[in-house]
Amino acid sequence: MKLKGFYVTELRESDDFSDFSCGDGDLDDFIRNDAPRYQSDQYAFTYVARTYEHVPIAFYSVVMDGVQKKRIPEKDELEIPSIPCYKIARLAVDEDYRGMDVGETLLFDCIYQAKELSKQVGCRLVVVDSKPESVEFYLKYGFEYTAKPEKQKYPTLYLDLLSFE
Amino acid sequence: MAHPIESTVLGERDFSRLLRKLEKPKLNPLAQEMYEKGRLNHDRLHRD
Repeated sequence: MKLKGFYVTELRESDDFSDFSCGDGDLDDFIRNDAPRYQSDQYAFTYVARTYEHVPIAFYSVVMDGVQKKRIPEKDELEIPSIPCYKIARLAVDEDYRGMDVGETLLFDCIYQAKELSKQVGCRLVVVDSKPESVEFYLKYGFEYTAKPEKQKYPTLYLDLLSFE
Repeated sequence: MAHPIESTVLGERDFSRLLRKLEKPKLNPLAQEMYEKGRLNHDRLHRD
């Protein structure tokens, strides 16, 4: 499959993902069945990457979140209850468009958006709950583990927005 | 239905360790590079 280029818009009601397949049934199910409702209810915001022929080839969904400490009421002396973050809740590329830097381009877009957001509202980290098979992708781009990976089924990785200007 | 988007909750030790790391942010040239590429691409990439 050749890709001349692509562009990004927000998820539209008219979007058809019946031919989209990223190899993960959960992610395919999410974009087809859950993302529209999350969008309209403003629980997650989904962006869709399309070819110049308007074929959806990838998407990412982002939410505001916080990395929280597990509550232990008798020991809750910490002033900071949670660390505000921009969470990449979903990021998926259609199998036919792998190896064309689509995922990388969308990740960089997320980092840019998160940094710009952090200039207006408390936001310290970009985080992602990564599928085990995607951990290497995020580590390659400088993300780090929030906790020992064996503790989490989907390891949460982070990038510190204060580590660059 | 796909698994819901969940909040990240860390145990006390992991959370404290993360906070200590964040007290002294280290410059990350790779992150800087990613941000610059994202910035340069953003307007070209996004359409209404």
